[in-house]
Amino acid sequence: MTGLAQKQQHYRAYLASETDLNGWRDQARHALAANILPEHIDWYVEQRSATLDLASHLPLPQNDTASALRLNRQHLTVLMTTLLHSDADRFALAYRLLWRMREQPRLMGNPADKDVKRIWSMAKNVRRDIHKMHAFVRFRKIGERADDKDQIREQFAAWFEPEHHITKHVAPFFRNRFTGMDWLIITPRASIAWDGQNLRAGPGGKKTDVPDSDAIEDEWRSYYRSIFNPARLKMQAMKSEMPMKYWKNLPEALLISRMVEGGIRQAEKCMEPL
Amino acid sequence: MSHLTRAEKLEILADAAKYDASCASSGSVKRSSLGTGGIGSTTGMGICHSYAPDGRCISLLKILMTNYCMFDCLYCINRLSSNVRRAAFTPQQIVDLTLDFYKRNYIEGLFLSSGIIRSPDYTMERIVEVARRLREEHKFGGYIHLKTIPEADPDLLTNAGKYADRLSINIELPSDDSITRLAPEKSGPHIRKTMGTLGQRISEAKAERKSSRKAPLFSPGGHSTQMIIGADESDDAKVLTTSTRLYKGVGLKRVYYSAFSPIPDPSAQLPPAAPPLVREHRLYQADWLLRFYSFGVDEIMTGAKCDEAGKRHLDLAIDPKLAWALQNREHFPVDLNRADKSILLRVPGLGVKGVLAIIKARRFGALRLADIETLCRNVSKMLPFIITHDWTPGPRLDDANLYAKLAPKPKQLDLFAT
Repeated sequence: MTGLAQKQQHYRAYLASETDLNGWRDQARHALAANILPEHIDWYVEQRSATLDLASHLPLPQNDTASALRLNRQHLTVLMTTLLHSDADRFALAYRLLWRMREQPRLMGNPADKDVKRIWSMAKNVRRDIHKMHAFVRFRKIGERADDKDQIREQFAAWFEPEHHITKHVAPFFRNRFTGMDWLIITPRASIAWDGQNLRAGPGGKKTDVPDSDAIEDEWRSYYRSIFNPARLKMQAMKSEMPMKYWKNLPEALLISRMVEGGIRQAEKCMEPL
Repeated sequence: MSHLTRAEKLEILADAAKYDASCASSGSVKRSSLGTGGIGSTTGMGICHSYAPDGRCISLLKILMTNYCMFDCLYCINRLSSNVRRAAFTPQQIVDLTLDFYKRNYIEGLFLSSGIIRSPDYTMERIVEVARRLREEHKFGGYIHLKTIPEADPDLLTNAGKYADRLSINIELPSDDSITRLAPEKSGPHIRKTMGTLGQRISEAKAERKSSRKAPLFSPGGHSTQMIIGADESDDAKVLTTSTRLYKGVGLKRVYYSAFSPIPDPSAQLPPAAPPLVREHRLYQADWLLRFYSFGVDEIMTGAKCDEAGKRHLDLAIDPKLAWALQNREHFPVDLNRADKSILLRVPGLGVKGVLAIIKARRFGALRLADIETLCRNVSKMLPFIITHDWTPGPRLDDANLYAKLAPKPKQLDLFAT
């Protein structure tokens, strides 16, 4: 590296929020262009409960020379997905990877590298959280309204607790699936809504912002109970696919312990004395 | 009957449907309701919206339209002579229930099957009517799987394929003789003929869609079937031969295996007990080897066991790929740094994902055992069969006790595992 003087300096890269992906991209580009070592950048997120930090930091030089670094689409997607992870260290890790790729352009394709492995596994966790949010959101009906063509539109709301910063990211999925109804999904850190015309995003909320039951939930629980085959208890398989952290917001999960006891009793009935 | 509530009917008709193993909602076209303003989408991936304590995915509202049935298939809990509680939904009730569940994000769609009432045609018409109302009247874009009745008019099949993402016809049992004996109203050759017609229409429609995007869809998620295991004497060799014949002959996407469950008041022609569940599991593993690992049935069966009656069954103690490898050790050890993909796929403990990761990683330099541990989950199982930069199995591969060393220690079935 040239410029010994730079080694002593610390820079601060400002991000507007936990999901400021464009901000990260811009700043990473500037930092690369200015040859700033990964360990010399402090990625600072506004709104994050910050630790008191009295060290002096320079803002990043706003250098707009185009970076020579080229990422293929798949690797870029993996990096951007990783940035939705709740790990506070993710912005620094992703920058370190870009930095290393200048020397090793094919680095991202090496699954045996530690940083690469961590990135892929974080991206996988985020994708899994997205998938589970698609799966485990449970809407409750909150009303109906007439739209401008005098058609009745049903209105639904859901409370969900994702692990990562994915709420805005999943909004198009829910719009494409539930176009014909109004819906609102509230999470602790963000909320999203659809009214047939526009997707909107807003601040987080509380569980009590959403009603605690729905008329159809009893039938859903009946279905859940009936489709279960008590002759085959596989709790481990169930918990790995539907981790217990999601249970508190799933109306059917109330039944699980009773169903398992019933399954064991039934199995005992079929046992013969030795 | 009419005094049953929708919830009570649901209980009976979901309970009756749980012997259908399939819950797949993947592999169809991609649909979105953004263009139609309706409800429902398919992403091509399928989503499991819940899991039951039996470990199975709940993706679709899987119900029978009715469990009344004029057929008397001995292995079926809904056969004419069975005295189970009966119920019937109207088509509109199923449409409403599907939409109510879908809008709350409980399900990906509907898997509708039915007992045969009045006639095969009448029953099939009503099944198709449910799908028609969902698609045409409610602009429903979710997943629809219809169980098709092979005895019904072929025109009704055409209609079913217009609305459904997937169609299926149950082959029921592995051999035609067993079908004649246990399901007297059904015929093996006729079932296969109908499957053949389905397969042909599906591939024709696919070809037409390639030349014109406006060509009509026909069951774009393909077709599948289900075979009951352990209700007749067919051995695993017979089961897998039947599956291969169906995969190759009629273009099936999946064969589902369902271990026979003893039912109340059984016929004397049926076995008194269910086959061990692990048999179903081994058959699925072998089925995977057929479809994704280019194994043939004959190859798989070299690792099988033969009982006193001359029946050839898969080894229940170890998986079929390991069983094959132990009987065919001359193909090993395999050098993970050099071997082709097709050879890597044959290494016990190494799955498709692991193989692809190894091929990718070895471009960056010779792989050591520590690298393989980073890339794959089950390295201890692979050790006798592989070579890496710093590992060779030496005499381990020829160890006469290798089977005993690799087979899991027998343990009591733990019902209380959580």
